[in-house]
Amino acid sequence: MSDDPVDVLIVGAGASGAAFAWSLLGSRMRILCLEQGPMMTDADYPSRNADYELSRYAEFSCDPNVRGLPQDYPINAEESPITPVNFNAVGGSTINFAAHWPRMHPSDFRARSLDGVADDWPVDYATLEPYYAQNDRNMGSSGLAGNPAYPFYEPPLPPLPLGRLGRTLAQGFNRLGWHWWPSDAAILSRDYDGRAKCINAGTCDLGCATGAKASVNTTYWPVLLRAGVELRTNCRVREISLDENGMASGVLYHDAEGRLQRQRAALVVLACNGIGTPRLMLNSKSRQFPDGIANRSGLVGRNLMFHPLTGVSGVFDEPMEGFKGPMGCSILSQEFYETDPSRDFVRGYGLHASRWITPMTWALGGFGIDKPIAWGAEHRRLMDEVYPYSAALTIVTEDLPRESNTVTLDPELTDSDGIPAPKITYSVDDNTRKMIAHGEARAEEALLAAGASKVTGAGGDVWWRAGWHQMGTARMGDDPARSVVNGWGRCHDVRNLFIVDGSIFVTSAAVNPTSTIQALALYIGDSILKNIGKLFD
Amino acid sequence: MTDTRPWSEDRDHLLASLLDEIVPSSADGRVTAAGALGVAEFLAGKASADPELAASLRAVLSHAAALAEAGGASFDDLDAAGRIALVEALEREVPDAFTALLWHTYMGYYSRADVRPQFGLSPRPTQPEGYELPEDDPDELADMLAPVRGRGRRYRSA
Repeated sequence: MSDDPVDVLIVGAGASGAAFAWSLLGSRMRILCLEQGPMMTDADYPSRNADYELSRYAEFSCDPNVRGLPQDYPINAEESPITPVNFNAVGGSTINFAAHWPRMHPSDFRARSLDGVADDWPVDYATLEPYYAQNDRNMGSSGLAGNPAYPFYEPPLPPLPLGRLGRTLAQGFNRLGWHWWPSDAAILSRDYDGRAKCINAGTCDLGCATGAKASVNTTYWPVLLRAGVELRTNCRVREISLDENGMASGVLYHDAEGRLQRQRAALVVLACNGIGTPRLMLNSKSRQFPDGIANRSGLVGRNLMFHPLTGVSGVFDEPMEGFKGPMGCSILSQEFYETDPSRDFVRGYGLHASRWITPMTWALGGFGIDKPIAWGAEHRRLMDEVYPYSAALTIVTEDLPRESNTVTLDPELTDSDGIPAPKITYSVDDNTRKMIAHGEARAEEALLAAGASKVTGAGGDVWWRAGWHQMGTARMGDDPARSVVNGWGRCHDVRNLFIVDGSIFVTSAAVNPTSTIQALALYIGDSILKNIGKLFD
Repeated sequence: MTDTRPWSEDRDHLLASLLDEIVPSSADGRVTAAGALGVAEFLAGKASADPELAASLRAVLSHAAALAEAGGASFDDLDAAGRIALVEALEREVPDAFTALLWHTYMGYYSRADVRPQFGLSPRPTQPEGYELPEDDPDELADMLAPVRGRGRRYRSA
C-alpha cells in the first residue's frame, strides 16, 4: 500500500468525513479517507430479504456488540443506562439512521448566555445557516418552509406524507394549541439528483435499497470518488503519529489483512463520531501527550452527551398503519423545546411522532428496548387489539454536558486488531429526569387529545439501545483549558489535527444531530480553505 | 440426539405444544398458533448454531417434561388451565431460559411472510415495492397548520 504523503487524511467515511471531503473538492488537495468498514451496495441491505426483521437483531443490529462484525469494535457500556449504537461501513451510521433532519435552534448555541448552564458555542446559528442549506441540497432533504420554531429556511423538497398516524397526532396537538410541524427528513419526497423518491418501505434502519434515504454512500461518496478522493476500506486506524515538532505526521492503521501500515499526511482529520474519535485520541499516546493526543485539557472523552429517550403510546379506534412511511418521524412538536422558567428544569425536549414499528420489533418490546411482551392470551390481545391501533410519541431530551460522563479505554476489552475498546461511564442527570417526567405527562395529554382511548408510558425509564447521538467528547471552545478544538475544529494542542464529528459539540440541543454535524463539517472545511495561509500558525 | 439436532426428537412435540401456548391461535382460527405454524423448526435451526440458546431451550424442555411428569400426565393430557399453569411455572422457575424461548419464538413467528399480512403488512420484503402513502394536499396541510402559524414565532433570539 502506498505511503506517499497526502495533503489531507480523513479517518472515517461517514456523515462528517464525507461532507468535510466535499468541502475541499475545489482545493486540488490530495485527499485520502480511511474507513474501517466495507463499501456496501443496495444488495447488502436486509430490507430486500423475506425475513428482513431478523437482521435487526443480528448482522444489521444498530448495536455493534450485537453485530460483532469484523469491522466493528466492542463497546463496554456496563456503567451506562444507555448503550451507544452505530454502523461501520462507508456511509457510517447514515446507513442505518432514520434520517430525521431537524436543525438546532439559535438558542442551542447560547445555553450559557440565555440559561446560565453549560457553555456557549464559539459559532452561532447564523454562521452555520448557509452550511445547513448547502448540506440540505447535497443530501436532498424534504420538509415544509415556514416552521415558526426556526428562523425562515426552505428545504429543497416538499414534505414527506404525514400518514394516518401523523395526521391523527397533529389533531391532538391542535386541540391543545401546541406547536407541531411536518418533520424535516433527509429522505426524498421527489426524485432528485438521479435518486428515486421514497417508497414508504418503513424499514429505514435496515438500509435504503431505493436510495431515497440520504446515506452518504449514496449522496456524497459517488461525487467524491468521481472527483478523485481516494477511499481505502476495511482499514482501521490504530493511532495518530506525531513528529518531533508536535505535529501530526499521519497515522498507523491495520489494512484489510490486519497488517500494520503507515500513512503520512500534512493534515489529519478525525471523523469517527463521538465514541470513535476520543477512543482513537486516547489510544494515541506519546511522550508529548501521555494522556492521549491533543489532550492537555484532559477533556478528551469527557462531557459525553446522548439524547436520553423514552416513549408513550396510545391506542386508537382505527389502525394507524404506522409501518407505512419513513420510520424516523412524521411530525415534530417543539412546544416544550425552549427554556420556560415556570418549569422545574432548564432547556427542553421534543415530542417526536415516530412511525410505528413492524410486528416482531413491537413484540420484542420496541426499538431500543429488550423486553418481550406477554405470552398466551394476553399476547394475542396485544398483537390483535393494541399493536395495529397504536401510535406513539417519543420524548427526546437535551442532555447537558457533565465531565463525569466519559469515554475511556477499557483495560481489557479490545477489537479484533487488539486495539483497546471504549468504555462508557454515563448517568442521566436530575434535570433530564425532570424533563422526561414532564415529557411523558405532556405526551399522554397529546395522545388523549388526539383520540387515544388508553395510553402507556415507560414510567421514566430511558431506552437502553438508544445511544445514536454521541456528542461532546472533544468539545469546541476558545479557551484551550476548557476545550479540545477551536471554533473551526482545529485541535488547540496539535495544529494540523482537526475534528469534524459530533465530538466537538458544546451542548447537545434536543434534536437529532446529523444535520448540524454535517453543517459544521462543511463550515470547518471552508474555514481551513479561508485560513490556509496561516493554518499552522 | 444427533450432531445437528439441539434436542432429542421426543422433545419436538413438547416444544410445539409449548409454542402453541406462548403464541396461541385467535379465537376465530384466522391466526395460526406458533407451534402449529412450525416455529419449532426455526428454533431448532437457531439453536443448532448457538450453543447458549440450545442449552436454554433444552433447560426449558427438560423442566417442562419434569413438571408434567410430576403431575402424572404428559403436557398434552393437561387441560387448558393446566397447560397455562405449567408455562407460568416455567416462567417463574427457569426465568432466563424462558425469556430466551420467548424472544426467539417471537422472532421465528413474526419473521414469517405468512404472519405479517395479519397485521396489514405485505408478505414481501419491504424493498423494492414499499407501500402506498398518499401525499398530503398542500392546501389542506396549510389549513391544519394555520393555528400553529397563528401563534407566531416559537424560537428565542440568540
